[in-house]
Amino acid sequence: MLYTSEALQQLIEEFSKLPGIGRKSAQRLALYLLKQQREDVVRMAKAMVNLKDKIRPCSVCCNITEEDPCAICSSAKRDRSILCVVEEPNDVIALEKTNEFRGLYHVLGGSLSPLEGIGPDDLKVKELLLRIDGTVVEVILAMNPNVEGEATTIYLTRLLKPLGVAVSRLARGIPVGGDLEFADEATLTRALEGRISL
Amino acid sequence: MILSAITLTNFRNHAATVVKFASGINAVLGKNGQGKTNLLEAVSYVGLTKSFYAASDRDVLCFGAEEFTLDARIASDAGVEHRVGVRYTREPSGKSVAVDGLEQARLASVIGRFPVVILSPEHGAITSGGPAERRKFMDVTLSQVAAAYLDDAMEYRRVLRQRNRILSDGLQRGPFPSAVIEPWTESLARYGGRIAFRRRAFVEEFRAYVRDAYRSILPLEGEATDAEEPDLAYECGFPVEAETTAEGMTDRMAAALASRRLEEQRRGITLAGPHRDEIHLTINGVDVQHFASQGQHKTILVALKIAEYRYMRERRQEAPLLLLDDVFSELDTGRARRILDVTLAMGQSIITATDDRAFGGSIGWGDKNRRFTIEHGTCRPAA
Ligand SMILES: [Zn+2]
Repeated sequence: MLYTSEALQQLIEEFSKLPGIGRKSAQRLALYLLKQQREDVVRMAKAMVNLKDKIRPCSVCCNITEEDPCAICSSAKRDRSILCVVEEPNDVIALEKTNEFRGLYHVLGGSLSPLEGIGPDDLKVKELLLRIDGTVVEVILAMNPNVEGEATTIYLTRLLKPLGVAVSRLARGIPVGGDLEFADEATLTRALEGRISL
Repeated sequence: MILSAITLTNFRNHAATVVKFASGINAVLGKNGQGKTNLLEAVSYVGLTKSFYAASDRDVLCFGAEEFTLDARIASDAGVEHRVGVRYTREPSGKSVAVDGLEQARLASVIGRFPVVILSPEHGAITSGGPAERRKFMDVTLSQVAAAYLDDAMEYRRVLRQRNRILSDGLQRGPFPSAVIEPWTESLARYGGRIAFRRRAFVEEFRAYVRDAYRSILPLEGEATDAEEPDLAYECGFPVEAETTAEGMTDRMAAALASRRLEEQRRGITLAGPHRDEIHLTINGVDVQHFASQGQHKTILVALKIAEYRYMRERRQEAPLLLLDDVFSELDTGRARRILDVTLAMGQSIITATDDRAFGGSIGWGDKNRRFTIEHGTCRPAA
């Protein structure tokens, strides 16, 4: 055994399973916790367990929530005619921060990726189609700007268009705050392709 | 561009190496296995964010080290100084590139900013190997000239892998609904059309560069090779006509994929697209890959690289850095002499060799052209 304590070794192993955490960082984190007060560590452990115990998917938008339906889906202030489709709960948080979008969301739970074994049946696509019931007039597809997001956009567009809703996608291009002058050539090319007529 | 200095830390057998380069020819001399090629690999990381030789970043990490770093000082032809830092850590595995202290969000955004042309023994496969080697040659050149091409090529590769997975899964699990593959087909045709259009235009332009370069390095008079005329021809991986436009290319590729749908399902692989492109290399109309002599293979390979250099210099308005790894060892002195003459006219180069015999007595070593010796991963200016 490399460590003098099995408890320490176990925690290091758990930490190194986390994204972006190598063995060295895991060791540093574990030793840090060892030095903390017991109640602080208990509070942290409880927060982790709560994450699993209290959070469930919203039965409407499939976002994570403690109350079902979630606060956004049950809010009277949201515009029910516009639906923004995103890949992950993270994306909802990012879009909510802008304070610009007043419609509802739908969280797919990922994007199409045959290499990872993710097909249409593994995403919340059926749940999305069920929501197109006459109230929704526009669907914005806000997938990540990568090939998986793009394939997902094409797939959903083909399903949604025949249902009589307007379908749009986020423009791919210059990041806000980025000067045209400093945008790399590839980004500029994309931005030109994704130009919007006014 | 001029690479004025590079610092290697824990890179291959270079625990801590600093080299200050001259603006002309830099001869790096040493026995095999001392670290000559490793130095060129490090320079390759600065220009292309990866080695031209090793399969993975882990392979170039010094044995037992946790990370390697490279720090390069570069002056553009316009006289602007830049610093490029490359860092790779083993655990968690990750690579980052910083330009002038600013970490780049995308590694690809560095490629082409500091153009390099590399000729190493492995590149022999460009003329003697299969079409994949020639596609790779074209990709490295075009990627450094047009960032949009590099983006398309990377995304094409990713979409192709995704699409092939659907097809190969289909072989094992039985038929799948066409809606499952259609989005990938549409994406693939869009990227594929753009790549094919660029490649066709490139080959059309590049032919003249190769002919000129070939002529400039032909052996001296007296040898019966002066009537040789090399040429390149692009054969698209799906049916197109000479007048097919960029948008037309995408339509053609989509049509080709549609017409081979059943065959694709039977074989479990994508059967049309630029991943099946070929560039035919010929000398006087005779196929190089199968019928050229040893001497012709070497000459046309060097010609391709000189052409690549000149093409990139014109397109980017920036002289690339020329890296020649052990190219003189198998050339007769006449040919080596000619190549050296051409190289002298090309700006900065780093050339590895076992000794300085290949350089003859005609190069004035000093401030403009420098010699270095490498032994056990230690590089010193030669006396
Ligand atoms: Zn909800």
